[in-house]
Amino acid sequence: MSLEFVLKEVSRCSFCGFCEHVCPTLVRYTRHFGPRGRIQTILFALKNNLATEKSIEGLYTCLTCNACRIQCPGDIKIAEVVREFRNSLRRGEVDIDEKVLKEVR
Amino acid sequence: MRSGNPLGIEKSVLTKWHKGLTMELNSNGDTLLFTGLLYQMVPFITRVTRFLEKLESTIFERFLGVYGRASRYTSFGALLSMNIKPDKNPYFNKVKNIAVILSSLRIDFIYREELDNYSGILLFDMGDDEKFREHATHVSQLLEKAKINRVITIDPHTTYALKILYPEYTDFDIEVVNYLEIILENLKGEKEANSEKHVDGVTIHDPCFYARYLEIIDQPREILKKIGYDHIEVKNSRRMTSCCGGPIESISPVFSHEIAKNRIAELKSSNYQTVTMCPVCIGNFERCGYSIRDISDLILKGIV
Repeated sequence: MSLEFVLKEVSRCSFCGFCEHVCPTLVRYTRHFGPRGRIQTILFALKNNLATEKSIEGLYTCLTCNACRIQCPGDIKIAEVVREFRNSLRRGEVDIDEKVLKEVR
Repeated sequence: MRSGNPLGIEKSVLTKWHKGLTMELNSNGDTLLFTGLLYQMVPFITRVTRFLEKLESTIFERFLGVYGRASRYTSFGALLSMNIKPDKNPYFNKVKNIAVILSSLRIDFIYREELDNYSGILLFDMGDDEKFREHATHVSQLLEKAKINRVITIDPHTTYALKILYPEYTDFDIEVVNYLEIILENLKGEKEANSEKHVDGVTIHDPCFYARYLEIIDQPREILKKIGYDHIEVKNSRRMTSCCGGPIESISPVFSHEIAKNRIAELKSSNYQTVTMCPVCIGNFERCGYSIRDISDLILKGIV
């Protein structure tokens, strides 16, 4: 798997939000701590090369519990995508500001 | 991971769980009990997480700034866990229970300390594929050299790693069975041992990896039924289970605590004792002040 897989999966998201109510990390009440927000973070990083410390924290605090996948009408492998994206971030394959990664390195 | 586990604990501290076991453990055979060392690591994990939870979001956290959050966890692991003596590790009993259950059901298995290793699942979770592959290759080569044909795993994370990830990342070609599957299979042949009804029912907290990745959902329920326990489902159970927050205790113990609090409230609503089958869930709930039983305690009482 690779960034190609990640982009293919996240591009299928229609942002319906059905996934959100089951996400245990959404107790923080900010969107990037939920599945839909995580997909948005990944899309933004891949297409616009932009991310913030908080949005990256959202990716690293994903429990990969897979509760969201059951809710997703498109069966997007959200947890797999997040984990794969962490791998790409660590390899330096994503062109974003290194400073936003300092907390999770 | 020179020590082979995320906390840098010397391996021999974790593999001595069988000390004081009344039965003999075989060392010649082709079915291996592979504990994955996760149960044994729980007291160490709890201690490090408690320490980092106190520091999180305080001024002291800045002094740790040179470490990233995940590596901070591993850096303090060995240091803080030095004074937990092997004979005082309460989680050794849970592994002992499992060994006694398997042997009383006449399931043949062997145990060899040198073959029992941490699965490397945290490396995979944090997205370090290269290190995970390296570690998995080392572990699987050891098993193959020892001519192991089948491994019995005892926790969801190790089962997922060995059953799903190892064949994908390495040449691993060994049958992996979870102890719950094998216990149920063997209980079926047994007459309903000690099947007197227990007055109290239990609530099951399904670990995410069993429920959604490995589909081990009915097995624990059937086992409990056979040994005389009624179970009560809570709001989010079976495939719809809600996570305990444990997987991010290394990244943010405070956040992990918030998630656990919500799940604890759901579990408490049943008014029955909660039972689970994952060391990460048990450890995290205990850190957050909620005592939860491991299914092996109940099975042991029910069949031995």
